Amino acid sequence: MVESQVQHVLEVRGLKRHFGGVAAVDGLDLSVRAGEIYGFLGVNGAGKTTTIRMLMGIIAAEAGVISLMGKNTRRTGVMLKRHIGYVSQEQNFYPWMSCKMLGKFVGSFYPTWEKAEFTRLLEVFEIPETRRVSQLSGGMKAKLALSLAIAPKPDLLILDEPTAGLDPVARREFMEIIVAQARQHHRTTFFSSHLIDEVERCADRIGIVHAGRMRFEGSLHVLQSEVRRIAFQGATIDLPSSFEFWNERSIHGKTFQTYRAKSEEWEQLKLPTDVEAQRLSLEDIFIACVGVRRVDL
Amino acid sequence: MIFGLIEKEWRQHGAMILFVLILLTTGFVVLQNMEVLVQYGGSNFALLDLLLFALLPIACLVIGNALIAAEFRQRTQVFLEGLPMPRWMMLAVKYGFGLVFVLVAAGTLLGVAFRSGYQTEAMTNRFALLLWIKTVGWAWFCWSVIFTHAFLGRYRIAIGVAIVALLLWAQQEAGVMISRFGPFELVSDRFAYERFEIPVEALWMTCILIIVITSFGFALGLVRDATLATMLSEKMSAREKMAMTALCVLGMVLAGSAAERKEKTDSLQLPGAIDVVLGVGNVSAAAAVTEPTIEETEALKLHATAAAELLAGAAEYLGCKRLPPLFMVHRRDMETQELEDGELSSRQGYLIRLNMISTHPESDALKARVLQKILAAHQHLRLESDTRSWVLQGFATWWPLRKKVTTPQELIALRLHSEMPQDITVTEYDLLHWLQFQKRLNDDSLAATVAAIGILELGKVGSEAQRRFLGSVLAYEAPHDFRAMVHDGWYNVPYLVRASTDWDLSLFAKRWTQSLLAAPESKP
Repeated sequence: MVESQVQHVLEVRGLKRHFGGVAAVDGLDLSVRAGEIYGFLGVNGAGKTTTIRMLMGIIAAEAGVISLMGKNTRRTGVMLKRHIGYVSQEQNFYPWMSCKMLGKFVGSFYPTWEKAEFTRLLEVFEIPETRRVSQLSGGMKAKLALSLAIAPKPDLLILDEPTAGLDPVARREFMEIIVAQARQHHRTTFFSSHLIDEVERCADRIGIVHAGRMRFEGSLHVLQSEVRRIAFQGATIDLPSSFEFWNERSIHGKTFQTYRAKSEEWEQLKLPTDVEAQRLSLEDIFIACVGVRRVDL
Repeated sequence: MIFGLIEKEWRQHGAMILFVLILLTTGFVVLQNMEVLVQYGGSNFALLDLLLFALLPIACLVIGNALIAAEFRQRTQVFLEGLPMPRWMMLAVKYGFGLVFVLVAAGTLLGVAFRSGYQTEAMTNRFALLLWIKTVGWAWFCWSVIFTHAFLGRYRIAIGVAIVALLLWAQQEAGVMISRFGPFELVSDRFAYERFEIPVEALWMTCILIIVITSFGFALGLVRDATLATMLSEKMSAREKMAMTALCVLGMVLAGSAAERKEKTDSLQLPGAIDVVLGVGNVSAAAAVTEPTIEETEALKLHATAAAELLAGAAEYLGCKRLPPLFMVHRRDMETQELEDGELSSRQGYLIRLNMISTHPESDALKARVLQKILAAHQHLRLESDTRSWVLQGFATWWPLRKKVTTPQELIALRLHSEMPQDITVTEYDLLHWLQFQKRLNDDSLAATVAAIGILELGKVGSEAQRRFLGSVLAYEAPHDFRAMVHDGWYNVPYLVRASTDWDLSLFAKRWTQSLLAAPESKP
């Protein structure tokens, strides 16, 4: 599909936010298409949470434009937030509330709230309605947060590292629920994570953010075809200037350089016989993208 | 949306609010039926005034802490921020919710007071209206202050204490009539008695303050996404806790010393006293009789002059710029050489009772006693209980005898220690814990002689070094606050000994012990 014909539920251009002298988000661009699952990947401190908090209107952007459901804004207002389901990184619910009470409280903010759906979700997730939040495990709290986010039938679901603090089993289960929900209801889902396997397994498209800027945005397939590593020993290999240098490592005298270029350019590239261009896993690509640029081991 | 928030606040804090409300009302009713009312001329409204002034702010503090400070501290406001609701609405609901409670509480108290007031006082509609206006104004002001105060997070207690201290200082020290200013005038002592005049100016000022303070509170919760309020609500770091503790201690010390300074010290006036002022020596001598004889009057003069000379001489030697006054009272009923201390604070000076006819003005014991007590009073008795007490005792014993003795042997002989033990040793530890040493000797007079031998030992370095050391310890004008403690810590005895003599304390103690052991047994 041509990019201009694609309907974007969320689009961000030149988003900026500083804290003191530190640029948490520094001219970030991203776009999320309708119905897709978008994995927002970045190391700790890359600017993921700040971006999401700006998308949710919790903090204001200093510069840039946020386009949500076709409406441009600098700060997401109440009307737009009603179309978004949000699961934050920490579940700071009122511990004295029961799940049912919490549902009633949150529901009072959403005109589209469906009590029956919330009750159903609690049943599906095996969370007792009458149990107090303080008595729930971390996994159950995460599921409760997801139920609260989904029950108003939002057009866009935003999840900020929803599986942080969960054990591997709970994490896998939680992400499966998200994917199933997204596929079943054709719901646009934007989730941030620093866990590569999670993103690799669930996301249709990914965005890699580093130091407040978007380093790559696109499908995983495209990313893996564009980013490759050449391994050689001895003299430096000269590549065309269209090949974007990402990273270099040396292990036991062998040099590994990571470049990004269009897949056609990789196909046309003539390398010496003792030099090979390797395709990389998402983890290797991610580390090459955001990690230390030169390390000598 | 708003109802959801209100319901949440009610469910969360309703029980506590009701409890506070019941406590206030019950307290008021109980106090009404006790003798407390008598203190207020039987007026319910005077008692209400007291409760509004003292207890309503505390109730507001409790509610403010639960509604706002706890929300930020537990980070549950992060959850609220994620919901489709403007932040100002969240704050407005909290403000409104708290205000309603405070007004209900104040209104309930007022209602209870009205109920009794209609039976016991000449109530008029105007008086009732006045009481109502003042109560509402004060309650609203209190809540606005506490609402804003709650956003100050971990610093709110310190800032609250500072504000109260500042108000007290302004009222008591700077002479600002806080009780006649704006909201404070509403609950001043005229609250229960003013029946006609509407305090228009105070009400206007209260309104302005309410608007300004509330705006500041909202600003803390809204500006830059409540960054400041969020930062303030974070827990204190260990360093911050230490700094705050140190500040609190410092504040308490300063407040204590200020209060002590403020404490009125009446200068003592002895009736019919003979005053002698010589240098910094200021002596008043009087007889505790209706009409002193000529002989007694003469003795008063002699004693006053001798004491003034003693004090002036010692002060000049030590470098004291002033000394507390000495009061001497002649008592016919006292024995020769019997000395009795009077009950004066160190600030007032030192009072001694003696028989001035039978006790010679040049008595060494009298001189030693007077010197020791005056110098102790000069430093607010600090010298008597710390590591410097041997210097005080030694100087007071040595100074009157300085012209008669130059060696320990002479001193021992003169001090009539017929059975002075031969094995007295002084260690560095003893010099730092002199009172323990004195207790070990079980003879205060002997301890004083040992201390005086120490002073003689110092003289071996040179009379100037000796004078410098004694002056540095005894002439210091100790202030009433912590500065004296800091000074004593900084200019400690080992440091002063080293600075004056180049000896460290252990070497000094060793030389001192040698002098003691070398002194042969002396017989009177």
